[in-house]
Amino acid sequence: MKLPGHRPGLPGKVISLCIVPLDPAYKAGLPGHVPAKGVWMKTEEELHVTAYRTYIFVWVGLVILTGLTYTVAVGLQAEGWAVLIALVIAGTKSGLVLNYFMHLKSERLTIFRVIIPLVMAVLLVFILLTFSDLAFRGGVK
Amino acid sequence: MSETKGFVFEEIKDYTGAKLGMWLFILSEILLFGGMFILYSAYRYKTPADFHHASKELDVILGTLNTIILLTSSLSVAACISAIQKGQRKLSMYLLMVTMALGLLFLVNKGFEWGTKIEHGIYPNSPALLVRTRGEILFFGLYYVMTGLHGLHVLVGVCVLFVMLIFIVKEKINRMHFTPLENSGLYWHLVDIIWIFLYPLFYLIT
Repeated sequence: MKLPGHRPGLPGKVISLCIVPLDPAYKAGLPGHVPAKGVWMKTEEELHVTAYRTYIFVWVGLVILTGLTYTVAVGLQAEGWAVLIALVIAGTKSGLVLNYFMHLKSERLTIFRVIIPLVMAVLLVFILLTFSDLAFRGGVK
Repeated sequence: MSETKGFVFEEIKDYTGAKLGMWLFILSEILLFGGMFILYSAYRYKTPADFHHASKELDVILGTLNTIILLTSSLSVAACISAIQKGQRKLSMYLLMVTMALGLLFLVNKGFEWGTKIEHGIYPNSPALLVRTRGEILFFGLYYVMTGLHGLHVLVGVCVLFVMLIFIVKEKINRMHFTPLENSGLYWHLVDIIWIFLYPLFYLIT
């Protein structure tokens, strides 16, 4: 007996589950010992298979950014700017890794896309608070 | 009419939920290394000249090489997951072996770096280190702890990837079921991201 909404899993298609209340007409036709809560309905979501080419493009970008970090660090003399630029470039690189290699870009759920920036924001707050303390300390090391 | 014995369902796959655990673990790791980065930033703020001076003793070429190695390993592990999704089992096995080899190469380079430092008498609490300025002692302390902890993560990652390789060989990871591999890939990318931040902060202090 086929359940409503039942589709056999196809290669490349991913199945996630939700539970829906039983249709009364369907419920009437079920044998008595089947629990009356609901039935598994399977919805299929498209699986994102990233192309090799995308990965290679991202890799090239990462290597270029690495070279850029190196050049800027060796070329630039100002300490403050160099740190900032290095961190911005490092942030861009990790953004690339996160979005393309770790598939955050193709992630539908908002929670995943929000969660990393949230943690980074927490770290930023920690760093800012630490520095706001350090900057106003006296001569104590 | 056939008898139904309760629910009829196929193998349950919650593709999104399967990755949730690893993402939460990744967040905790970011906070772990983040805490050490905060420590680093505080001491660098306090003694910038010492940090600059000490950083010059690190081998920038090896550091850059290690960065490229890890970036390439991230590429290969990501491609490995695509390969298994497309059903290209042999390709995914080769790519996974490439990833592991690159990870081990990274550790070998790290070993050389640490080896030369230790040969020069610079290691945590060494007499040669303790006569230096406070900022330099802090720099090298942070260097050993952070790159050491990171190296440990790389080693664990290589072991996990090796287990994934066994799974692919035994076909426990296949086109329909590959979430362990994907989670291992996520962990490996995290290791790469941590190094992406370690590299400029330790090797490229102008």
